[in-house]
Amino acid sequence: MRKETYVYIVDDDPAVRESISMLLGVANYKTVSFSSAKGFLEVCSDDMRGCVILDVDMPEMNGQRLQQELLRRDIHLAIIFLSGKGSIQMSANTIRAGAIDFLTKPVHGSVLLERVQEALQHNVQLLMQVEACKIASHKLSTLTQREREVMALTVEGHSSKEIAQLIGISYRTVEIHRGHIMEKTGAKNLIELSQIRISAAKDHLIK
Amino acid sequence: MNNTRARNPQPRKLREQAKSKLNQNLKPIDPESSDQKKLLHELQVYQIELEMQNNELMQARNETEGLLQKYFELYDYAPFGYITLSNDGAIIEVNWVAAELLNDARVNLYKRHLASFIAKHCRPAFNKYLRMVFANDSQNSVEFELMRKNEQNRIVQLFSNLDKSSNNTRLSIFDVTERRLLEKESLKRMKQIESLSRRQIASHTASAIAHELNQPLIALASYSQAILLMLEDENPKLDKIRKAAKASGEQALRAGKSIHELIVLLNQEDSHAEDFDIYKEIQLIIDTAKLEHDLPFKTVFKLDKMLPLIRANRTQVHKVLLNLLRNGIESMQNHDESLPVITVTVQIIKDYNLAQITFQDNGPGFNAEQVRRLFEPFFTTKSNGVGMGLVISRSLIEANGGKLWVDPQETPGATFHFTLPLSS
Repeated sequence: MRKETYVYIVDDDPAVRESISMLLGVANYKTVSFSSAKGFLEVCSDDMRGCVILDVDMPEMNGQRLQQELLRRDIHLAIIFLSGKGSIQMSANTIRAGAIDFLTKPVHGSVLLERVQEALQHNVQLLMQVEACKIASHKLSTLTQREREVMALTVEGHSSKEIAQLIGISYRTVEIHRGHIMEKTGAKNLIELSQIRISAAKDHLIK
Repeated sequence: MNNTRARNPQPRKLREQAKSKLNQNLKPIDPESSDQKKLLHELQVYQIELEMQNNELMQARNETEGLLQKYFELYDYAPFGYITLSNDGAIIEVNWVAAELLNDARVNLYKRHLASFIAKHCRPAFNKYLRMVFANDSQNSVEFELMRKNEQNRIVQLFSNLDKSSNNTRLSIFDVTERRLLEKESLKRMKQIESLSRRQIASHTASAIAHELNQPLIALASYSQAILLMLEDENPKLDKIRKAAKASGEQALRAGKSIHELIVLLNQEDSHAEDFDIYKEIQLIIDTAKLEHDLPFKTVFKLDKMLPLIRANRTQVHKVLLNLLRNGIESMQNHDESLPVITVTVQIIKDYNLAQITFQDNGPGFNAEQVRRLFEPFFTTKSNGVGMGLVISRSLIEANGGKLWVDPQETPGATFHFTLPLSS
């Protein structure tokens, strides 16, 4: 069963946690608050959906290190950084590492709501992509070794005749492999097949 | 001196010596023999006495010549300059070191006026100094700049000694250029370090303030947005709104408290107050500032006749005075004013038991916008300023029970006032 979408608030200041969670609650978002990065990491799992509002300046583990840890654990939550004294360098680093926003405190409540909404949309898209990659990867995993060989040459634009010559099997056998490939992957044409290959490659990269 | 004997031969003693010398050389004469013999004897004694006197005089002259030679050598080869001036300021005598400083052969220097070697901007002061020297024999040492062809000016220190009998004056002259340049360089370095540390302190303080304030501020912003959203509801949940409003009030107070605690923390050091003479303190910082800055500026004092002592923290007041003076000098430095003048006024306001100190420069002054923003943190009119000087000065004066303000009108020159309590 898919998990529900949450906005996770990680900030060591109780007033900041309480006020943001009240604002998001009023705007009909479900929130969970954590007073430290460690506390959040303890309950984290890779099937979480939603976004994290993450304080940069926290004692022990700061926001940037939490971000790195989430990436390492393959947890795809959209991250909005909140900083009390953010420097341009720090914001550049976090954005490069995949954060979708870097806001400087104080931020207007309505701006925060807008950014949360964007982050959640972003997360949905990201999860869809991840899902598509997983499916593609799964589909390709059902192909035999010979079918994969034929698929690679097909995607590169070789005709069945050429493939038959290249790997030393009959034209007819190639045609049969091609039929199986399209069947197993559900691709309607060559373009779809090559997209599935790319997605599957991404899935490997993520892992 | 051992030549007193030579200059004042004692006649009686000499005669006794002459008599005994004659008695040794001649056969004794019967005093009864004749008057002529007696006379002859007398003359012989006299002759010897004269010879001896002559010897004594020759010896005295030799000694004097030796001393004179020594004196000339001491004068000529002294490690510092000697110049003797007639009372119209012309050079009568000059030793090697002084000639070297004046950058000409000794023979070319005689009869020339010393003033013509002094840098133009110090010349009026030098002429005044000479007049004082000839009018009154005691003068403190002073410093002037000597002009040198194709070379940097030398800074020299002068000591004067008036010879009342000849009405000439002898000047001892020391080259203090290297020393002054070193002092200036080290002051410049110190100022740079001070400026750097001030910037760092400002940056750290700002960072601390930012952290302390931004937490309650974002909480406030979130609560107020939550309240607005809740009010849009058809049936607003008043309890929840009340809770949010109460929480935002608390956050505002928290912000204020943070700032207050920070100020207390920053003011903790140097809170010791003492009684001191504000005029002396002002003179001290003007001397410091004159060393620091190349700009020759004039200082005009307008003081109340009776100046009681001030009661305040001397270090803090010193910082404020230096800051105001530096601001004034730096503003005049970048301004085409031929004669930069700093006017310092000290007035006593008896009714309030206060002294009011006013610093006025004749620099460009401020426009209305600048006056309005002058005491805002990080506002500055200087290219390399931090914008904390006046903010800190004001808080220091207020910590000492005074006030600091600027004249708001757009006149040429800036005028700052501050008050400090008098000693009880």
